[in-house]
Amino acid sequence: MIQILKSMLEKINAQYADLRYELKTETKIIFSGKDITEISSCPADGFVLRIIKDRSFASITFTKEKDFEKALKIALINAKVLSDNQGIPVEFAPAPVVKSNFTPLLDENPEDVSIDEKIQLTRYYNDLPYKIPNIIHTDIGYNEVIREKFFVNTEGTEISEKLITTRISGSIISGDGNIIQTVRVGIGGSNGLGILRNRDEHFIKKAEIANQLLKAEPVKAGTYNVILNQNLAGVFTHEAFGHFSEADLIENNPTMREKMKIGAKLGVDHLNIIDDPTIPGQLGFYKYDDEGVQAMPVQLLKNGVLVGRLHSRRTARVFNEPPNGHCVAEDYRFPPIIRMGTIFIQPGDKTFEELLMILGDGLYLCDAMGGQTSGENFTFAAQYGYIVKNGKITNMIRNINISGNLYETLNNIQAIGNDLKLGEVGGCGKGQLNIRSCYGAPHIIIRNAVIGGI
Amino acid sequence: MEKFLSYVQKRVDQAELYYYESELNHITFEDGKVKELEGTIQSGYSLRVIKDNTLGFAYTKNLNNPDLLLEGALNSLKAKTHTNLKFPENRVAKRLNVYDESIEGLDTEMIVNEGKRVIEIIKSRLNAKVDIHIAYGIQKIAIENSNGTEISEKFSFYRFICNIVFPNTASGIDYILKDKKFSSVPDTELNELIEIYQRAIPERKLKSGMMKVLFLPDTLYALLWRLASGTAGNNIYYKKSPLINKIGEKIFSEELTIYEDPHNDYYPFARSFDDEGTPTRKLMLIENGILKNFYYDLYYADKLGVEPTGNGYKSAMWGGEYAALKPVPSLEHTFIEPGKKSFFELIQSMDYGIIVFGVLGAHSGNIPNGDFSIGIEPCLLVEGGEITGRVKNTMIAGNIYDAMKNVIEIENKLHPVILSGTALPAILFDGITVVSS
Repeated sequence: MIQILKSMLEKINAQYADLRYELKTETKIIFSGKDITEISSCPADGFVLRIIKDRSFASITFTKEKDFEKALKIALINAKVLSDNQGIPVEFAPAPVVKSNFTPLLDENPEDVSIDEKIQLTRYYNDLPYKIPNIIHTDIGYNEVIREKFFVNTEGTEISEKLITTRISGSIISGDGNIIQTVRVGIGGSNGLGILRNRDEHFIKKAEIANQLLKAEPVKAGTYNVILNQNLAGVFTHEAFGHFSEADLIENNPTMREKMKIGAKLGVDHLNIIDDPTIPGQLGFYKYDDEGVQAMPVQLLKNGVLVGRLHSRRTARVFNEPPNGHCVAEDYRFPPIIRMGTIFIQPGDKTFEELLMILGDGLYLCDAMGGQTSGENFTFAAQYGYIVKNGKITNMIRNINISGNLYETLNNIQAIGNDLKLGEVGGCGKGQLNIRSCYGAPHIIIRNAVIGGI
Repeated sequence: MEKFLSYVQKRVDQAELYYYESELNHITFEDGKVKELEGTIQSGYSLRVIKDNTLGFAYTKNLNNPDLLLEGALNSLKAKTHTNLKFPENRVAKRLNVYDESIEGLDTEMIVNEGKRVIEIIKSRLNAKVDIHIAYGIQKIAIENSNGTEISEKFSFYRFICNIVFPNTASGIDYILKDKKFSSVPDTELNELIEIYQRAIPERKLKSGMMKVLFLPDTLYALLWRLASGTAGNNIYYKKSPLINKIGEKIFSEELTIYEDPHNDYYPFARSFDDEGTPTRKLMLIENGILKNFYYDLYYADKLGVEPTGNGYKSAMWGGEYAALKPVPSLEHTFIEPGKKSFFELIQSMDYGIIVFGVLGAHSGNIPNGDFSIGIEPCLLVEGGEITGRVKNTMIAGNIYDAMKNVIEIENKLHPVILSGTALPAILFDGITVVSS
């Protein structure tokens, strides 16, 4: 395939061009209730072409090899229109030429496991929640995505990389009369099938929570001091802060760019945040991004001060900062955009019990149920939580949504726990879905969080 | 396609082949400058087979090896997905006006100039960041099945979204235009937008509590997603809906009439058949507050022993490769009956309240139960019938089965929307919990 791509590249008259061909094989085993509604294991493929001509950047995706000439023609017209219209001039920051064929080592390669065994495993977990009272439905599925990527550019880089992501995830639904409650379940990673074995506890615990939520009280809207558990604090890190470290989200927003200057003091002294896609075995792991740059760890916040951000080669040039391999595509349908790899708050020194004592009165909020960012404002939901009185966890609450302002919240992080945990299931939507988006944190305390309640 | 289908048919009881192709161009302006042009030329095939009342499914992008696609579908029969469904006999699809040939060969330069024109008008009156996304192109779908269906349709579309961003944020006021051909943004609409923006610049504080909340058309998805969940055939079948056994009951304010109108071809992507080839029709979901219908695809209609409504679409919350998606019950052409007052009259009727110009986190929370708890950004404050500024850090919360009983008034005009349906009016609600720091 690399040879085919290289011969296509030779036909391109431009300062820079790259081509990615990708074969994505997705295996799905989807349960709705106790029935399987889908088993599929299908290949899908396509090409992504990007060119820089006359300092203008254009990209195009196409399915059929025979459409290359047509795609190239459109890309060249688009580049010309851009350069004729004082488009934003584009150059790429220099990046080393790489020749590599990379496949990570896996703990049990799912390609060696039969579909029957995968069905059996998924069915086993799908059946577990029904042992708990009031569980009326489950939507649980096995999902395996194999991305075989072939990348070449006119600078001489040639990379093949094979990334396998597996998960068993979905939701458990409890019901009692007119009340329906949902919790999410999810196990998985980038490291093979091993992580999906012997995980009964996860499904049972979540089913119990779904049942308990039927009797939980809706939280009263207001402003609270809260402890976020690792998963929820991870989503906060991703949604509220992480997206702002993505250079493409701020590059053409002058006011945000001013605020996100390197050296700006954004948070409390004890707050450190890093994005590190190179940690092996984690969901967010990869070696090369989709423009052929080797992934690097990027310290984003050090002692509350902004010290780095995530880049593509294009934005690295715009900001005059080094590229760091964070430009990733969902699949063959998309040119890459800047994405987080594995982002997390680095652990502090407090135990969970100490955090409860520091909190005194407030809420303990657990596990994310989606989140979104717009500018410096963010909203995310918790699946469940508890009222904390005098350092003691008491009644369960539900319908919890947290809203806030990034800068205020970073300065309201009162304490950071010592119990870092990284997520197993991703799914960040930024025009494209990133199933390897990995985030985490230790338990943290945030003061004065706005809770939507119901 | 035909040959392949007859080849497949020999191995199974029923078969259906779906093909799509699309050619699109996207133009992005950021901060007033054209930033990116991105093309896509995509196509793909999906195959569904039924053998011994079991449903199988497979897809591919490049049909280099048809046998592999067939094997994939046969292998998926392992799921033992039981069904009695029959692929429809739809030989003559109703013709709708969905394709305007002028979209092909459209001059990219001209479109870029339209973007520049709009930016110039806004920049001449506002010192604001203006972002624009324009997408246009064609899409074709073709469905053949072993029961004689052989239908196809070619669509053209042009979509213009302009966002005037508020300082220190990444959110702003949107303008959305959807058409089947290139179409210029009317100056009058831009002027209205600019006026609203100017009034919304001052940052204000809000008193938390229950108040009037005016939802803009393109923010109503935060509520309509919950209704779509409650009325979906699959959720009825799995008893995941609070609306089971409530057909004929008044569940919302009598001001509200919500329906699917796939044949309305004033807007792009009208459909005379869904992604399973089932003929589509106008479907009333809520009529004067009364729950009238649920919506179904073939599979769940069969499960429940009801007629399919022509709502089987290859749809997913976060999109995806069309070929890879299986049809599911989906609302794709939602309309809400307009009311009597203009948008500005609605604002004038508010003594104290907020206008929802954008929502955050509409996909989170307990959607099946109808609960919502969402960030509002931008959130405009209305005092004494006038916009007096905007408020940060604001959330609204409630349950649609309570909130949608409290409709005060509906705007007298429909606006094209992106995330939920085809075109909707703004709606003024009362008594919604609003919390702000």
